[in-house]
Amino acid sequence: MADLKHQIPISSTPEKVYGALTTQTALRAWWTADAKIDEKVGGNAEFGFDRRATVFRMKIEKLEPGKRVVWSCHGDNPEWTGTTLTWDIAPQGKMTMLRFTHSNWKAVTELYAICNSSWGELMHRLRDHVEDKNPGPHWKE
Amino acid sequence: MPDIRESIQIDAPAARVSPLVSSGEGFSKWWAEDVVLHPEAVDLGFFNRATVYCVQLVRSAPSETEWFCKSGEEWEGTRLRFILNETKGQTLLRFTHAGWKADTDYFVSCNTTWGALMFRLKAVAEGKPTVPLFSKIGWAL
Repeated sequence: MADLKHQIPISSTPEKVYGALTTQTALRAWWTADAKIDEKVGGNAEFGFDRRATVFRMKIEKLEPGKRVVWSCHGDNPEWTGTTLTWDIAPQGKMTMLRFTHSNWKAVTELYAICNSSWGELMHRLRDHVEDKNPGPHWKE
Repeated sequence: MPDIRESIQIDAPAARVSPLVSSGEGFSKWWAEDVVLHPEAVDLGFFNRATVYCVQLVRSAPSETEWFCKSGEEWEGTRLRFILNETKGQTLLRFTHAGWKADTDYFVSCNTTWGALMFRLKAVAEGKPTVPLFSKIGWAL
């Protein structure tokens, strides 16, 4: 099993970072314009990329306001199925540290490395969104 | 010894990517604005030179470039390896930052930063407007 790990300090509050991960409007502003989420524990979330050439289907497992968000992935890419995405939010001085783990990959593959790079880019977009720099979503359709 | 691994598909031939990863002038287009060129080595300055990485060119071939890091508390002794695989005018870039002593917080932060850097490098190689991720004084906007 392999895990992808990322972290980024953000000039904002834990509440605002949490908001960027838990509302459809925010997820559309930094990740993909094609995001649909049922904003509650047990709700489904779908993230479409490149006109739905790929769709990631998640279930929202945990929502701890200002602290933690956990999703489980149920497709459609077979390498993503069975993985878990955990976002941990904590104050750090005047900043907020966002830590992210995409865990339970079955193997370290090419897609694993490609996704590692994409998550790095996305963490920066998420930060810029929370810091009101309006980066726009990485995937526009 | 943990390694950082990135992978990105670039819509440009390897001959367009190679100069961007094998010279200080190349680095200044996507990585850091503040570069000082030495024979076979480059100093990269970050945050008004609060951090300076000195990297020495170890190997440079059209499809593989390697740099040895000579400074930085956690970077010293690590290696940056860029491997290019061209197919039909497209290049798969595989990057490894190898030889970290430990999987620290800084290792994770650098993993995230390398992800964003891969997308800056891709944009430059594809002729899209961008600036290096780090200006002389901080993060580029």
